[in-house]
Amino acid sequence: MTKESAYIKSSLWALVILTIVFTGVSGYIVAGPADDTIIEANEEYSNGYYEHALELYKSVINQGFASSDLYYNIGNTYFKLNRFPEAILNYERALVLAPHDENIRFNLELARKHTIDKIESIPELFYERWFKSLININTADGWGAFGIILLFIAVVFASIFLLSTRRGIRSFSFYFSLILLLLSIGSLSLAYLQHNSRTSNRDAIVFDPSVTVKSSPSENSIDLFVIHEGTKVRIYDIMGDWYEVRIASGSQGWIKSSSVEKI
Amino acid sequence: MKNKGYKISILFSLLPVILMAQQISLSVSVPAEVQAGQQFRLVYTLNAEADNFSGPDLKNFIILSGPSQSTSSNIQIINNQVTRSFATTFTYIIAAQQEGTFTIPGAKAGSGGKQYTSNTATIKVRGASSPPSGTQSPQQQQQQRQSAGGITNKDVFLRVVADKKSPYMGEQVIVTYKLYTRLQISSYQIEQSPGTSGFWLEELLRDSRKLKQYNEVVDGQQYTVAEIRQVALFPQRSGKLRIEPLEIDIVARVQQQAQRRTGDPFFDSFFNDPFFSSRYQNVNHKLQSNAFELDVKPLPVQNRPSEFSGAVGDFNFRATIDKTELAANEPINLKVVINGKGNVRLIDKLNFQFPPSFEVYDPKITTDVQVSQNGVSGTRTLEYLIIPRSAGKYTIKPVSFSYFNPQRETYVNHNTPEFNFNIARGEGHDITAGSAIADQQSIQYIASDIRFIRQAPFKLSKIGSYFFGSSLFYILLVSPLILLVVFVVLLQNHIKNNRDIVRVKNKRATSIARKRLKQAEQFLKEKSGEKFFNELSQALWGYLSNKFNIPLSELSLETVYDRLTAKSVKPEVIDDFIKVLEQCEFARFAPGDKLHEMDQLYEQGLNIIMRIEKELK
Repeated sequence: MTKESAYIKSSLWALVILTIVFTGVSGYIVAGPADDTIIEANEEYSNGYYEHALELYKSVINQGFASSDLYYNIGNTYFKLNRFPEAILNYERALVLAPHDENIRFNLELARKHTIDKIESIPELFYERWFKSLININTADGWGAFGIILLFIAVVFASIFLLSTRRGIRSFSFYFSLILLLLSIGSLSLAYLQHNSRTSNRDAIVFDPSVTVKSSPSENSIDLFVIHEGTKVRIYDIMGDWYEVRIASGSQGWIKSSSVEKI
Repeated sequence: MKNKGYKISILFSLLPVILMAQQISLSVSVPAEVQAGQQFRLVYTLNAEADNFSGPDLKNFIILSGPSQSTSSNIQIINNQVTRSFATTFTYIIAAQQEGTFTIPGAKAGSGGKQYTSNTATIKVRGASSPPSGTQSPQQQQQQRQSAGGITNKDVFLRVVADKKSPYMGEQVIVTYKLYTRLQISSYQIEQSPGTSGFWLEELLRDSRKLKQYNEVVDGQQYTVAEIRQVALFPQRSGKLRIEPLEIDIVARVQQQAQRRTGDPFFDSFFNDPFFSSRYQNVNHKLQSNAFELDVKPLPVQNRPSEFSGAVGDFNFRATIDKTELAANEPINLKVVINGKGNVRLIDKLNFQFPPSFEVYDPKITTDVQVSQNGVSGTRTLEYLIIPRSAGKYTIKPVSFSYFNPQRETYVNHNTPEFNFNIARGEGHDITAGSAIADQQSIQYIASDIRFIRQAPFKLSKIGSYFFGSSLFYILLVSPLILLVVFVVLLQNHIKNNRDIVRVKNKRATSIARKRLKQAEQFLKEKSGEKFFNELSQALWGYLSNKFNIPLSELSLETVYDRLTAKSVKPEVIDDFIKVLEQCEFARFAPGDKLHEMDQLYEQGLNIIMRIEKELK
């Protein structure tokens, strides 16, 4: 067996695996019969028939498909129908799937202006803000794929390191491969964090016109404060049909689970 | 003058004359036949001074006023006999409610310690005649009071007439207050205007000094009718709206009731002389009109245009601009004229959508309202002053003005034309001039809206299926590592195999060389020089190649020297080897007898290989 045949063999392997990666990733992305429905719904939206557009969009969701674009369009439709809590909910759902999308954030901000509660959120420390914006550059899947690709490249450079007899190439490929490995680990950690926040589903939007937040999970407990529809809450604990929630200002209390809709 | 003084002296000389005895009785006077709802007078007369009076039981009638007492005395002088009659009258103003024949029981009055009872009166009540106007109320609602001067509501009353009973909201209703009188009215004063809650009110007779007057016959009586007040009402909400009664104070010239009648032309003229006693008296009287209700219909919701802002009536609409071709910073006048019948005051300004670079001032609104007996009409002019601040082509999109036409019961829409402007660059501060001194302006935001929807195709994915954390993800994550391990293993194997080849070659180097040398020996015996040298040369080079793992392509005298030195072979051995190689190469191509050389070279070749072998051990 010669060196050449080993090269060919390993590059063939890489090709096979890369093909699997891309077919695999694209396997999660479906474009099918739902497309026609979406095109029709978009037309209805453009013509101002929001009710019908909403029905069509929802039928796609009912088929078990979703995407940030779809949630975004649904959010827009609700906005046009002046149903702001639903609009906010759908924008938030879109944002989970596309955290870096500027249009979604813009429309969400507009929809929030139509809600009653004006909540001063606790200011975040600068590094928290940076870290959040870093995580939100990509989705969990995006970070994951990025990490895997980086790992592949790191492996390629490790191979170059092993094969090469030239001193310069060897040291370059060694350090480059090491850096790529570290970046890959970082990317995968971000993917993990993003995935966690996505699947834990702790945020919810208030749907009842006004909800009294109680001090404990019982109707007889003391009323703490009142929040209104469209306000975002974070769920910290569940007890029967009660949620312990916290609003952006940091105030905390118990509300009925039926008065909110999870993102 | 002399004559007059004589008359007075006679009068006073006759006063102490003993009055003729007269029988005292209480009489009743009432019309034999009345209409239901009509007011009439029930008068009891006692021809003496009354001490007390108790009226009859008038259960079938409505007492509008009374009993009012009045006394009158009458002195008659006939053939030097003076008769003084004295009368006390008790007057009721009543109205019958139902048709039929009713009997009014007798009333009682006391005078000089004696009680007198009147006889009963029978009255026939006919059905009510229909009122002359749609909204004219029955007379019984006219709560007219009889004044002390004896003015009854048969003499004077106030009626309200509206031109329609169930208008649409915002439609004008003309309400006329008519004063019916049989008396001379010297003046009137409106004391209390009707409450106008729920209406927009426009006085129609504000400026007219002359009242419209005509004669009208009501219940067989001739009346002078004066339209004292006329208003246009614009109902502002739907449902039943009540118009409160109007109260006026009138001053009427009334002929005095206690007239002396002597039948004697001499005395008649004497007493009727204005100097002696005025026959007319100014009497204050309060009148109250009836209240009535309007049933206001709401405007139809069906087909109501979105621009509709409450204008009801019949309007013409015109929108014009003074120029379309102009330079920036020159003013444009946009004029909207709406004229017609209806309440033009309530017409709102139009919501033009001006291009953002147009500076628009609040429109100058002028309203010219004409009031007449036919109601309110007028012109409302909206003048917009527009100054385009930058050059370009602009359009003011059409705007709708819509109103409800109550006659046709439909909404009417008028559109302004689309105005197109071609604005050239102007002098001075033109924003688009682009010169360094041009005033910069921040972008004007007109409104905010959400961003537009995304267009298909979408990258749809199954809900809840994520790439991260899936088995594929893990396979892909682990695969590079596996790949690396596989690669390392392959590489190691390859290196090991390579090493084996070198070792085998090394081992076999001597034997291959020997084989070649044997072959060379063969050629030596056959005395074929060419082949011999060739074989010997190959034996020596091949030996070097195999022994020191030098590729054939790299074989040269230098590489041989380098490699052998690296393997620490003695320099004299290397020199000898190179000498043999050189001789061999030389002999191969040199002409002449080479047999001797062939023997010698063969020996040397064998020898040198032996020596290197020895050196390497």
